[in-house]
Amino acid sequence: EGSKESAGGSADKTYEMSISYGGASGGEDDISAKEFKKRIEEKSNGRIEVKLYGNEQLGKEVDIVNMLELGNVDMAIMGTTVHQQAAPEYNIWSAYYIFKNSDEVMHVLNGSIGDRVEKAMLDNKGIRIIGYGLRGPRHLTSLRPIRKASEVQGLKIRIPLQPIYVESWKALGAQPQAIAYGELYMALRQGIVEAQENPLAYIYAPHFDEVQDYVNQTAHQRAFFTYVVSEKFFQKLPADLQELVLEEGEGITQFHNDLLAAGEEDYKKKLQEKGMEFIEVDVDSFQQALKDIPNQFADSWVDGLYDDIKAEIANM
Amino acid sequence: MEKKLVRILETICGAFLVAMVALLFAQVGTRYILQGSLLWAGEIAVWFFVWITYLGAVILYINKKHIIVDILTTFLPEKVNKTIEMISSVIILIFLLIVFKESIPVVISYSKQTATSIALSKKYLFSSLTVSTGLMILYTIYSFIRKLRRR
Amino acid sequence: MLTVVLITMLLGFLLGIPVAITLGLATLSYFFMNPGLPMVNIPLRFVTGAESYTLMAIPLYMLAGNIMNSTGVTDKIFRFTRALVGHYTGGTAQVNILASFIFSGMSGSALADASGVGKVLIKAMVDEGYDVEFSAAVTGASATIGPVFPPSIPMVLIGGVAGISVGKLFIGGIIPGIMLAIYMMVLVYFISKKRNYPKRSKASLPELGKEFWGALPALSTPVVILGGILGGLFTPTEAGVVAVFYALVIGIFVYKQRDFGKIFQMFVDTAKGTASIMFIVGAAYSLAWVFSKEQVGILLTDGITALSSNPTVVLILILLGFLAAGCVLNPSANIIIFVPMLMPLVMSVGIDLVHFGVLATLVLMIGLVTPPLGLSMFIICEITGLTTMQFTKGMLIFFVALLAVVVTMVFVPATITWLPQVIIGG
Ligand code: NA
Ligand code: NA
Repeated sequence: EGSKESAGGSADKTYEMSISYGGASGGEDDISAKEFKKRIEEKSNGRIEVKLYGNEQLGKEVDIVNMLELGNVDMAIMGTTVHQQAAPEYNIWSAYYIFKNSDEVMHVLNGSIGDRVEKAMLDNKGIRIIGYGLRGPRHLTSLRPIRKASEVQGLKIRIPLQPIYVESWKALGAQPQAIAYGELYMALRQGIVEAQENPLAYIYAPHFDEVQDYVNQTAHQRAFFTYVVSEKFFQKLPADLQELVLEEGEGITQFHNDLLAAGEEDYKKKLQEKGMEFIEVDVDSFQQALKDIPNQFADSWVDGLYDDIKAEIANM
Repeated sequence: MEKKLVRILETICGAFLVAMVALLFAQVGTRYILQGSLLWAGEIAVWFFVWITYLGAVILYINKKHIIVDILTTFLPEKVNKTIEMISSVIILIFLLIVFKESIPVVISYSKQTATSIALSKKYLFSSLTVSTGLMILYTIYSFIRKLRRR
Repeated sequence: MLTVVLITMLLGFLLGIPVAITLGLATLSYFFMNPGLPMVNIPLRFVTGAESYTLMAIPLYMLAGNIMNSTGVTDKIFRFTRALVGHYTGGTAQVNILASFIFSGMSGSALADASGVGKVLIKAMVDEGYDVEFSAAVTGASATIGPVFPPSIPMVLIGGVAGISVGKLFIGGIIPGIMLAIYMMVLVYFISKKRNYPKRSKASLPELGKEFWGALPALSTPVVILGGILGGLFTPTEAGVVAVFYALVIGIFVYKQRDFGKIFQMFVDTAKGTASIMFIVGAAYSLAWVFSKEQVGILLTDGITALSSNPTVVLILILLGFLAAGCVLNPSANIIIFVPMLMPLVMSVGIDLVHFGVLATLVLMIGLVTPPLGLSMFIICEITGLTTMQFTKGMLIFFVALLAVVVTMVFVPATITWLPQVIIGG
């Protein structure tokens, strides 16, 4: 049963730890969560008992953030939602082409900017970041090949509901529309929209290969999972277990990223087998067309964030 | 007094439904006419929907129109039913008080967050339940007092 | 722990506490037993459960039906169907079924059907000499068509919690909806023959044409809704908006309903009807969290797969469960609590999602006409003055017809899955 002890619990007590994540069985977050559970339970000699809740069983991501703050969920593996909800002043991560490759992502998150984000999230919402893991880059799928930015003109595309995405696709000359992911297959089939953008895993699972012909490898967004712990839970743990949670949070990144890299290769092969053609894209043309977008939203982030990130990447 | 309250709540709920439909219509309409949908309209329509749910629940509560399972109560003599009704309303009152109290930290927790498509604090969404349970509590106490006075 | 939750629920029901609050109390009992878990989660889930774009289709489909009703459209449907099938044996009973079927194309709920068509048809039947029990039973049974034939509120709920395309579920419900109507009409035909129920004189072709014209706006509502979804113009929620707009235009310009106070009253009624369903949805959503936290889904999955992993057997076991649960808990609560829990099982044994969703809808609708908690039953008993026992006795033969449809659908999945595959694919 859950512990009632206040900060710094005792050494012989066992602690139950609930971990919420969105992915179904077999997703990167699911497999990594299982590995995390195994490591934590082993190294704590069973003093922490981890219970996994995948598939958004305990709630949608946006609400899990509040459950972490209020103490109803102990840990979560989440997309950028947690940044948007709990550290919006640093949530530049949805902007397109912030990073050119995954090394840049990990460098910035584990550097001084990452430290600032961590502090902000803890202060704002009592949510502690303990680690990160990469997500597959988002690519654009369509019925016609798209090789450079100018070819996006007039494209009817489904995007998730966020102003920065809307502005980005408008800047490219597309006609963005909001459609629920669950209705997207039908919308593509019926021609409500003719394109969509997602990581490969989210293109493969709902059989978008049946209604789309090309994967244009735009890699316009390199998002990531964040491993977060409720501070209410963290403060219940004795010092040695706190240490363990932090260590394993950091340690899971490598496992997660290796898994993702293998998964991306696999999805690409499977989608090709299903007849999708992968298109090499002139990424620079996209980057050029979108370079002012982060500045348009600069007011919503702390001063100079975009420049700080560029500087940190330049120093790699 | 309850008639007046019900009338006011009904007008608000009806108006909110008009607003919800209008927003959704604007969202669909702009998609075809202006090429590109009015994203925030759909999101705020949902907020009206939630308010309709919880303000509507108050109306149903006052009018005793919430769905119930009356297996036991239909077979028992009226005197026993009166006692059961008294017990139920005490239990309901306790429940409402807890939900009311616990909804306040929820509103606070969400107040720092905004809608995805527009900078509007989510406290305007989550306070719907606080207002709803608050009104139900006031009504329950009011009808208790009235019953006692009648005796 | 779960035993306490279930006992609390049972006590709440026995004490006549509203279903929504009873579900909330059951949730509360869990938090009392787990002091480490803050109770803030209860209000949090109440609100987030109602906060859903997809579920907005509920008031929209309800509103479209209500506006149509306020313009006297039910009467128009009645007259048209009477001109069409009134001259067969048991004509008015056949009219009842056919009118429910047409009404179901505008409305997403069995309750709207039972109260809309029910009021008009029961009176007509009794006046013509049908038994009250039979009239009530025909009404109750045919009201189950409402949520099976699109649009459908339970399907919107199932699609929402299970991530199944609502559009596909709607299309999957077309053939089963027609099958329900046919099975019942055949049954009514034989009963009427045996009991020598009356028939009416045959309507002339011009008469039929006139009534058809009068009912055309109502008849075309499902065309607008389904056509919009199928033609790729709208998602189901948007189709609801268009249906409302269509109902308003027809009401104001064709049926000349210019009493805007009356139209606003339809909005108020719909808001109350919405609250009645959605308050339970919010409460069920908070109880569902408790079941998720206790990993009841895994227990259920393990329990059922230990018996069999044959998809048909698993499907039958699930449907039997829904049939039992449907007797005591209303469809919305059943869907919110049990469907997400069952999804991993459904997917792992390889049951087609649309097949599952449509069958679950029908089986849960049967619960609406069974004691102790059957909302359609309550409405019909209120109209007719029958006791629930009398109503149930009259219903018995119709349960056989309903179950026959269920069995056909279980063993011939194509009755559900074929049409969506042809129209949407995938
Ligand atoms: Na229907
Ligand atoms: Na029932």
